[in-house]
Amino acid sequence: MTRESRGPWYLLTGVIIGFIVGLLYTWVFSPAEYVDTHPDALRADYKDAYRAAIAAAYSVTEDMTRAQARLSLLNEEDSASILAAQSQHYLAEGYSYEAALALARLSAALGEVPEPAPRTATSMPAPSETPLPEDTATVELNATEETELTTTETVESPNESTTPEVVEDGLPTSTSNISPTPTLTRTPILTFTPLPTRTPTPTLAPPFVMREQALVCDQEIEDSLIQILVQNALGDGIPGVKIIIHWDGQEEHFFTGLKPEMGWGYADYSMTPEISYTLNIGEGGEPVDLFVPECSDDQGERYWGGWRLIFAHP
Amino acid sequence: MSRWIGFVIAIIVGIGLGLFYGWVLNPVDYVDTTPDSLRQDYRADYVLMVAEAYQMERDPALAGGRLAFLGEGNPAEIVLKALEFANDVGYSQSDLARLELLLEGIQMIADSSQGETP
Repeated sequence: MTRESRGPWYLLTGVIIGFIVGLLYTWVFSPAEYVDTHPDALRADYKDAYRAAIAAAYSVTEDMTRAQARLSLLNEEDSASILAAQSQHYLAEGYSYEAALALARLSAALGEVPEPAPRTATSMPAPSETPLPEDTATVELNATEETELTTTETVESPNESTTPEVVEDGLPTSTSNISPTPTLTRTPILTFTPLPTRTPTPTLAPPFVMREQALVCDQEIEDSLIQILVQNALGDGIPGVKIIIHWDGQEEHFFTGLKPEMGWGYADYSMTPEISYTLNIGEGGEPVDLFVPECSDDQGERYWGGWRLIFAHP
Repeated sequence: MSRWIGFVIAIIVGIGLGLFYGWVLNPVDYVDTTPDSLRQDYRADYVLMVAEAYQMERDPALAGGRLAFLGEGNPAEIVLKALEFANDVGYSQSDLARLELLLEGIQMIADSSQGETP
């Protein structure tokens, strides 16, 4: 075979060699930079710590809008249930009770607060349309994804200035061209200002009262369960409500909402026969005394049953 | 000779394609990152969370433990950097006050631990 008859294959060989060299350089010798990352890329245990910090801050400030803004940085669906589960996990693993409580309270508060309205560029008033008094919190939200989206919420804060400042720090925001540092351009920068109408007023909720106590005789349920449903006045389940159960000088705490498949306000506890239990729901609730009930089937055989209790705000 | 020139040009084109693929089309995807790589504004906001909690708890050791989340650096320096950033971007006065309070607490515990060192 002559050189001419071999054709331009040497060109293809050169391209392939060059391509491999290029890949080696970008993936091995000089990969995309690993700096200026976003909270949603954190490892799971660091996300837990991040959430715990959000909850600890919320327990002091009770600034729900700020807490929601921070939680949104983790880019997780259903933060309320994640917080509730983390709270229970903290209790089980022996973390501080205060940390678990803060998580549960934030979870419960999230369950009661309506989701913020979708933020769209067109729905936001232009900054110039809203003159700000001195004490007004102003935070800009710049979300830079495939296409640039810049939204600004400007709201008056009647009290002290509250500014969850997570703001653009001078990084180029244009993404219309392909960036050599792609990990940076996919980072949304989320900050927004509290809307007074969405800010929950920190008022004490009335104690829960028992609406219903029903005997559960079901042989398919192996344990003698106390099944608890905690609801708001509208009948919706409330997650993150602390339940305290006492027996024989011992005490255990658990929270609603850890079995979302059973409902947000659901929790259960497995009783031991011949022990008397006292149950308290939330803060200041009336105690309920319980024991394992006996049931009998059609043939008269006895077996242990359980209870189903529904608590609600009056 | 012209074949060699073509070969070199082909390699250069291949390298260009490789760089484009590796940096743009399919870059290294980072997940499970550590907090020390967080961007400065997120770091500052985290420090603010610690400061908010500290405002009530007044426990510098607990706050120091929380700040360790951001890396092994000196906690006072971490707060100081956050404070500088907060000043630069115009955090509210109340948030700046919280950060300053936290800085005082962290510096106090650092001073006392230095005093205990023989």
